[in-house]
Amino acid sequence: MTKPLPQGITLGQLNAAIAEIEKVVGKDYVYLDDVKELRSYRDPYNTTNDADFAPSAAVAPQNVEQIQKILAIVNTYKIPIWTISTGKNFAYGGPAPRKPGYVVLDLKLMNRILEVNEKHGYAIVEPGVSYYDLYNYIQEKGLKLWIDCAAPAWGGIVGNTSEHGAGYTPYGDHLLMQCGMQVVLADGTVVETGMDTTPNSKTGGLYKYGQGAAIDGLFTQSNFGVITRMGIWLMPEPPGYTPFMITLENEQDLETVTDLTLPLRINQVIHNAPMTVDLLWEAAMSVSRNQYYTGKGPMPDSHRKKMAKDLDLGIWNYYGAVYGPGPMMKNNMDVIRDTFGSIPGAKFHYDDTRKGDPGWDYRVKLMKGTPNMTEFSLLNWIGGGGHINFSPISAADGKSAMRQYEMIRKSAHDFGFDYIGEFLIGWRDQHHIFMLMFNRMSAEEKKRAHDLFALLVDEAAALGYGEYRTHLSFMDQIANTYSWNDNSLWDAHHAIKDELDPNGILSPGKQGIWPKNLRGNS
Amino acid sequence: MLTRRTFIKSALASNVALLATPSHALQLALDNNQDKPLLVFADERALNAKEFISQVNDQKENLDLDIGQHFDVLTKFCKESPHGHIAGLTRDSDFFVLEQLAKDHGFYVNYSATHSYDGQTLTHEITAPKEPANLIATALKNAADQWPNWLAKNMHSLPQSHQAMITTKRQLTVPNTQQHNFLVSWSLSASQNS
Repeated sequence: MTKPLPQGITLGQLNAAIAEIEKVVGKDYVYLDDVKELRSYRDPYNTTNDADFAPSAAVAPQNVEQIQKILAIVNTYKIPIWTISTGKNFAYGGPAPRKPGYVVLDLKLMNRILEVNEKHGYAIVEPGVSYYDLYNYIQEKGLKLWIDCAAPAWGGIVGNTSEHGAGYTPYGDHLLMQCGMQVVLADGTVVETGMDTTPNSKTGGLYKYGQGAAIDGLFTQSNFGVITRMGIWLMPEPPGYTPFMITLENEQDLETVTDLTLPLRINQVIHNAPMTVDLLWEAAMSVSRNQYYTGKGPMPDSHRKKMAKDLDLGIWNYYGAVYGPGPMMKNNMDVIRDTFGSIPGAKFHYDDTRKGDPGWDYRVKLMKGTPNMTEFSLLNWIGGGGHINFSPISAADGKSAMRQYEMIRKSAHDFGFDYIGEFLIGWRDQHHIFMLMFNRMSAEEKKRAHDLFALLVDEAAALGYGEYRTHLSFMDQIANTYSWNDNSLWDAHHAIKDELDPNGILSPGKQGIWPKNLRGNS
Repeated sequence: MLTRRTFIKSALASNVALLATPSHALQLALDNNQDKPLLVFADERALNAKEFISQVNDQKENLDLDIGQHFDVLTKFCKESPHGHIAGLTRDSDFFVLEQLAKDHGFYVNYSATHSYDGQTLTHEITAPKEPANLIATALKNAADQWPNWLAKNMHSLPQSHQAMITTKRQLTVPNTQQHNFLVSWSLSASQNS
């Protein structure tokens, strides 16, 4: 197998840089074998070719000093590196780099939980700490704190937060809950943000902004530095927790349930980010497609309805939760029941009747921050299932939700794919996640999925919607949709990039931000 | 190395009419790791995997929907048996997750195969070093609907060396396929085994 090389870099230059890096971290922590070691730094769910995202090597430093030395070496050779924390960003590219030949900077060995403060409810963690790690630590210490984890939860706190990931408890907006970070810049300078910039800081995990420009966000979904530490607020364990589910019979109920949700959400009657989940997403937890339909193309309505009836699911399935003392939860649940009970056919479900149902069980865990991996079961909906997520932001507004849903469903069906999706209602917005699932062993189907995704980006942009996160393949296309005022936002990004990383070594192309030397070629 | 005699015996034990296979090729291609600790995962909810796991005598783990519940078992095995061998017949997603987890302990894939049903066609698609890939593909095809039994009896003999891999496919006609899910068989071993 030919070693993939970064653009403009020779094998000799790469080998020379690797030899120097080995002296920094040790040979055991430099991964070069394409057959075994580098296989796991690829994206099995890409819609093009494996080679498009194949790294040349991976290196796992153990501390900030090693990162500084690695940066000095790759600056010398002008070799691009691609930073990952735990590398579980699947559906968006996983650990794979934006272009072939990059060296993956894998921060998995920097996995210390530096502090958990029960009184003030925060943790300070390194990038290699997974949600499982933090959850297990809290359980072992008997701390009365909850985490808010992604689904699935094997990813890391730093990686998910810096990708603008979301969770399912009241602390589900992860970047909102981030407080303070340490970053290594391309030239090796270490920067603390927020209060930890003061000598002998006592409030780094408490107040986000410090004095002056709050720059934490600059290091998220970007390539301006390597985040090596992050503070994250944790929710105190509440005295009570009441999860609920509402099954809805009709497609049009999406509009009604969304409109009814907004006032309850922004007034904190529903405490967490409620989810409106489509039938197939729910069904895929317990059955596979061929148990109900073996034909080609999207599953017909008649089969969907039979499946809904068999599994006691709705065409839409709405999940939410309230937290707190019993009387408060009772008050809120009364309001919630009165509100959503007005939807014809709406049926409420609780733990006493739903427990044991795979979809219910994992949502109940997620809404209380208990890590699990059940959502990965979705991939078995079709054999050999691969997926990429198309994730436009919608207003928390019924008509807007229906418009996005109908646009995506129509195009998905036109291309022969099922619509599998959910809406996650944040504060005033919704993350609409369309899981575009395809047979990853079929080149034809992958191509079709790729073409559909590209079309959806353009269709969404035409309707005024942008995506909050995306797969490697579509970062440039989506960047081009954030184009107001002659791409002035991207001009600003590139000005920062050129100043902080003049050699363009840090994750070139991440989210469409390219260094000067590669900008014309992207 | 798995001997031809053992190979045939195991195949016959599952009522398999085995095509003649060159013993020399077998001896070269298939490993014999009877003494190595083996951890086997299976999705007990799938009929073929259920049949498979019932034949396994090694340490085994029946998977439920949440593969996260089994992380500790895998991690413990990797730490306690750094020269061991992990194998399974599972859902595709479970294999993917376990592979990702195991690589952080130095365990890598050296064999995987998809087993898919479409109408009356059963397709085995094997990815492994060249010689064992072809041998296993033929053996699985010959085993017909008893292929899970063949796999169970040959778990210890699946490839464990890290060499360049090929993908090869075998198809056969089988009746009554609707009750069978898409499954993946796989094998991971520590890199120092190679």
